[in-house]
Order: sequence, then structure tokens, then C-alpha cells
Amino acid sequence: MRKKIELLSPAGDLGRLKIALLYGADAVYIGGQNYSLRANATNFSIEEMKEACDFAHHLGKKVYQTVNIVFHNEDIDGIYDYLKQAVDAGIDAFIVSDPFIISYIKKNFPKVEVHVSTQNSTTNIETVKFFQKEGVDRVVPARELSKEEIKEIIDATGLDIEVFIHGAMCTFYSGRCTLSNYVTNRDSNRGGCSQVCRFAFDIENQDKKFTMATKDLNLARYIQDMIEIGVASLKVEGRMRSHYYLATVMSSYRKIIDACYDGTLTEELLEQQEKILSRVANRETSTHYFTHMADDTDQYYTGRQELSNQDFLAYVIDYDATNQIVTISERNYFEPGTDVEIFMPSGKVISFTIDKIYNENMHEIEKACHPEEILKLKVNSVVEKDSMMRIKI
Amino acid sequence: MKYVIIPNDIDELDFYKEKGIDTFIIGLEHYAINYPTASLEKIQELSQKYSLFISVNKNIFNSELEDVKNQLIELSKLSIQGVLFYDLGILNMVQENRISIDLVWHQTHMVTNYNTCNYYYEKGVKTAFLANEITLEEMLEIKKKSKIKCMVEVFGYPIMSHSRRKLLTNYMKSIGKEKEARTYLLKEQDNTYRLKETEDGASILSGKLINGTKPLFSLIPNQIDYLVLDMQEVDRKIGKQVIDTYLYLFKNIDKIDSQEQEEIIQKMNAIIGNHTNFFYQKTIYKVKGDKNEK
Repeated sequence: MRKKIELLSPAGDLGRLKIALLYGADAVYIGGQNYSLRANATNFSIEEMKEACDFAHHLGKKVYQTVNIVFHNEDIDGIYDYLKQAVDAGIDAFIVSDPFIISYIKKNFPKVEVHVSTQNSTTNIETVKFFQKEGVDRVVPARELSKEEIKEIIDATGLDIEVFIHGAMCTFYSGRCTLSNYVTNRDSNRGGCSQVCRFAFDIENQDKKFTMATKDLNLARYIQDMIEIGVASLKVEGRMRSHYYLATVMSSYRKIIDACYDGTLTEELLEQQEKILSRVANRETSTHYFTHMADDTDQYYTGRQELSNQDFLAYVIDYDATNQIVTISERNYFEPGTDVEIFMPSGKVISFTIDKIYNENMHEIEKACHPEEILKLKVNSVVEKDSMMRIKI
Repeated sequence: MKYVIIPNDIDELDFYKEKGIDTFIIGLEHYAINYPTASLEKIQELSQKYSLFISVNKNIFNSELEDVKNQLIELSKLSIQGVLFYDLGILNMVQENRISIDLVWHQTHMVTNYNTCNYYYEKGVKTAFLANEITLEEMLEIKKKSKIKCMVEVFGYPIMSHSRRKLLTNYMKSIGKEKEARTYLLKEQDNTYRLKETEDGASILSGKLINGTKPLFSLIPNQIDYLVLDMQEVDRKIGKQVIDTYLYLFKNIDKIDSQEQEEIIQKMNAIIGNHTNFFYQKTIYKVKGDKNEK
């Protein structure tokens, strides 16, 4: 019998890691201080990595570390100590792209899993077999593959395959783009990508700017398909995304996955979760290559299309069950009369209309309008710690 | 050490041969990105007259594997210098099917360090086409610390990125037009880029020609095995001047003093611009506000 499909979340720092795991991720992937393709994210120190692994392992979950840069000569100095420290901290797997590093890890740290990054843009059975011979435990194929192509790989190799299901997409094949190097002198294959694919260019003989930015990926409706074809892990993109984003996305996918397994997946549930996911996204989404050869409908043509919303109203710090008072840290404006919902790490959601808002000293105030201000609300139901309050969706 | 030409068109090989360069890289039809391509039959014909490397540098999909394997078997029967590959599936097929063919590791932007070159060398890959995005110093270190033969591009419009998406077609559709050419110029601030689209998707190339004149004064004495001149979309007259100069350097590098060296560099700067790509420019990736940031 196949293992239950894994939900894999990004985590840019320790706080995000904890939120992702609490809200339903089975595993997280993180970057250390070096060798990761998000060089400008906060990333993890060794001490934080150890705390992250302890936290995850305590919950029966896993932590993977990205070491997926394209190495230059100078980068190899100190790699042994770097990897050793991560192994000692408890990392469960390294996500790598350079085949030399695959063999290096397998030779020096044989007990740690090695996953091949999508940076390698693996597109076929033979390439997966190549990595299989090298001893890798999992491959993250290119995001340019269809459901049928992924299934063929799984059927032919039996190797664990991890598939991106949600988040930003590269316009170009991963690893096959150095626009950032040429336009901004930042090395895209060593974590410095400046997202030149989201710039607007003049194009000869045309009035309208040329853009090539893609819509984000959203495969919420295809989780059942992923399970059926034998995908091992579902990956969400976005190590630099917020706590609220991670909580929302993990919570939604957790519900969909669990519903697939316990036979309770309904159109209503899918529609509700898609609605929630679309609210937290800052771009439009598409299913891209998983369902069709990507075409003009998968791109933007009018420059940057990044919308922000103010759905996230507050972070729950504490709940006083005796007095039925929830203590929150404000994030966005709300006032009495606002319809809200609190969603919790367990998946529970409660909806209500804001009645009265109190400050930290239980003095009633007219509105919540100062980010990070500590406020209190009366809520009749039990609210879990680390819950989040948002506009009712 | 020898020069290798990527021609603009496979019909012009004689022109270069007459100039004294008889080794070429051409792409295998349907399976090459940013190379002029030829069918297997045409390659068979050309291989009897010219020294050829064949590029099979496309990302290969499952449905193409059988055909690629068969074409590799056929290529192995020809007298060619080797096959440039991007997709590691090709390496696997060559190993598993014991296809007797010399492979050139050509993962475009990923050929960046000597450890990985040595890794491939141990796998039987004897040549690596180094990335255009590393420095001259890094190239020379790879040459020094690896047994692998090195290819370095010293002239041409370097490819920056490749997508499976039909970016040009999609854009034109968005404005209700059809594309009228395969290549369009893009402009951003003062820089120009070249957008090309084929059946395999879209590529963006730099709008600046790599001027390898100055680097050649280091690359030639350090015995870099293959120096590649990409003549695609280069004016024939300019291409001829570049070849003449590069051949002169190759023959006379030991005799050229510093004054003549400077004169040659200045002359070439006037013809093809002074863009030395990343030969002397290190990229950054971590520190915001670094002095190297553009």
C-alpha cells in the first residue's frame, strides 16, 4: 500500500516553519545560510535548523534543506562542514541540483536522503533513471510536465516523485535562465534571481510592452489525480511568503488531501478551498503544463500584476476560556460589524461578526487600525493558539 | 587547441573552411536549441567533408526518447567529433545502450565548476562546454583542475534563457497580431536583447556580441581545447574580420607584444564592441547593494 501523499511547504524562517507544520504540512523545505536558491531570504542558522528539526520531528514531520545552487569553483570550500552541521542538526534530506553534490552527499552522509531539485529540469524517464542509479531518493521534475508524463515516469521508475502544486512559476526552464545575470548581474543559479521575467520590455515595431510573466500555479482541483498516479509529495512554492499565506495554503491543501483519502471530497469543498486560495494569492492562477501545453492564457501582458489584499486581520496570541476572551495582534483594519472568521491549526473555522473591540487593558476602542497592536475580542468558541483571523470568505 | 564555428547556416561551411576553420557545431533536427540544424541524412553527408560536433541540447520528453536513442545510435556510426548534450537522459541512454559516442557536457549555464566536470569525466564524458556566465579565472581553474577538455565561447550572441512557452506567439496573440519574423529585438533601458522562437519554445539572447579578443590572450596559452565562435545572426563581413583576427592571434600569440595586443583589442572593440561578457565580471547573488550590482 502506498504511503499517504506528503504535503510539503516552504519555510523562510523558523516562525514560518512552525506555522506551516502546525497548519498541516507533513514536511518543510528550508534554506541554510549558503548554497540555497533564495540567497536573499532570511534562511536558517545551524541553531535554528536544529530547533526546526526538533520541532518537526516532535510532530512526526520532516525538514528538507535546499543545497540546490549551481556550484562555482569557489563554492565547494567548506561544503563538508556545512553539510555535516546540517546532518547533525537533524535534516532529513538535502534538495540538490548539481550531480557532483549528489554523489558527494551519498558518499559522505549515506543515511541522509537526496532529492533532485526542479532546478535540474528533469523532463523524462531516462533522466530519472540516471539519478536513480546515482542513489537519489526523490526527483522533483520540471514544471513543464503533464499529468501523463509524470505518471509515465512514476510507472517506469518507481522512484518518489515530488510535484509542484501551488505558487509562482518560472517563465523559463529552471536552470536554463540567466536573464538575471545579464540584466542585473545577479546570479540566478546561485540564489540571486531578480525576476527579470516580470519586467516589461519594449519590442521592435510594436506599441505595447512585451511581457512574459506567468500566472501562478494552482492545482487544488487535481490532488485526487496526483494521488491516483502515485505522486509521493506535493510541493508548494514560496520560501519568502508570509505566515498568513502559508497557514492559509497549508490549511486548504490539508483539507483537500484528507478529504481525498477519507472519501469526503465534494465539489462544494473544492470550490470553497479554491476561493480561499484565490483570496490569498496576489496573482491569477492557472494549471499550466499539468493539464495543457502552456499557452497565451497562462501569462500576463500588462506588466506587473501583483495585488495585495487586507484579508488577514489578526494573529491569535491567546485564548482565555474562562472569560471567553481572545487576545490578538492586529494586522489589518477592522471595526465592529466586520464579518470575520478565525481559522485554526486543527482546520477548524469559526465565523462571527465583530461586536466590540478592546485594547490590552480591556477598554473598548472604536476600530482596530494599528498593525501589531494587542487587542482583545469576546469569542464564545474555543480558539486555538496560533489561529488567524481574516475577513469572512 | 582549435577554433570551432557555429555557422549561421549549414550551407556556409565551405566559407569557414576556406578561412582555415573546419570544425563546426550544428544541431540535430528537432532536438537542438539555438543551433542551425540538419537532419541525420544531411549530417551523414556533411560528416564526410567536415569535422562536426552535433548538438542535441534540447530538454527531451518521454515521447521523444525512442527517437533520440535511435538517432544517437545512427550518429555513433558516423565520423563525428562528438554529441553535445543538455539532458542527462542522453547520458543515461548512451551508457545503458553502450552507444559508442563521445559526449560533450553542454548544460549551458550549469557548467560552472571543476568538481562537476571531474564527475562527468569519470562518467566517460570527455569534453565540457563551459558556461558563458563564469569568469576567465574560473575557466582557467577548471582547465587546470580537471582532465576534461574545455570548450569556451569567444564570440557570438550568448543565450540567456530558454522557455518551453511560445512567448512571442503568445504576445502577438494578446495584441491581435501574428508574428512576422522568428527574431524580434527587445529593449530595456539602454540594453537590447534578441527574442527568438522556434517549435521548441522561445529563447532570449543578449544583444551584445561577446568580444573574446582580450580573453584569447589567456585562453590560447592555457591550452583551452576548443574556442567557439557563434556566427548566428552575425553580419558576414564582421564575422570574417573576427575570424581573421582570431586566427592571427592563434598563430602569433607568442610574438605579439603588449603594444600590439592593445592595438588588436582596440581594433576589435571598434568592430564588435567591447563587451567581454562575464570573462572579467563576477556575478553576485547574496549581498544587496553590492558594487557589482547593475
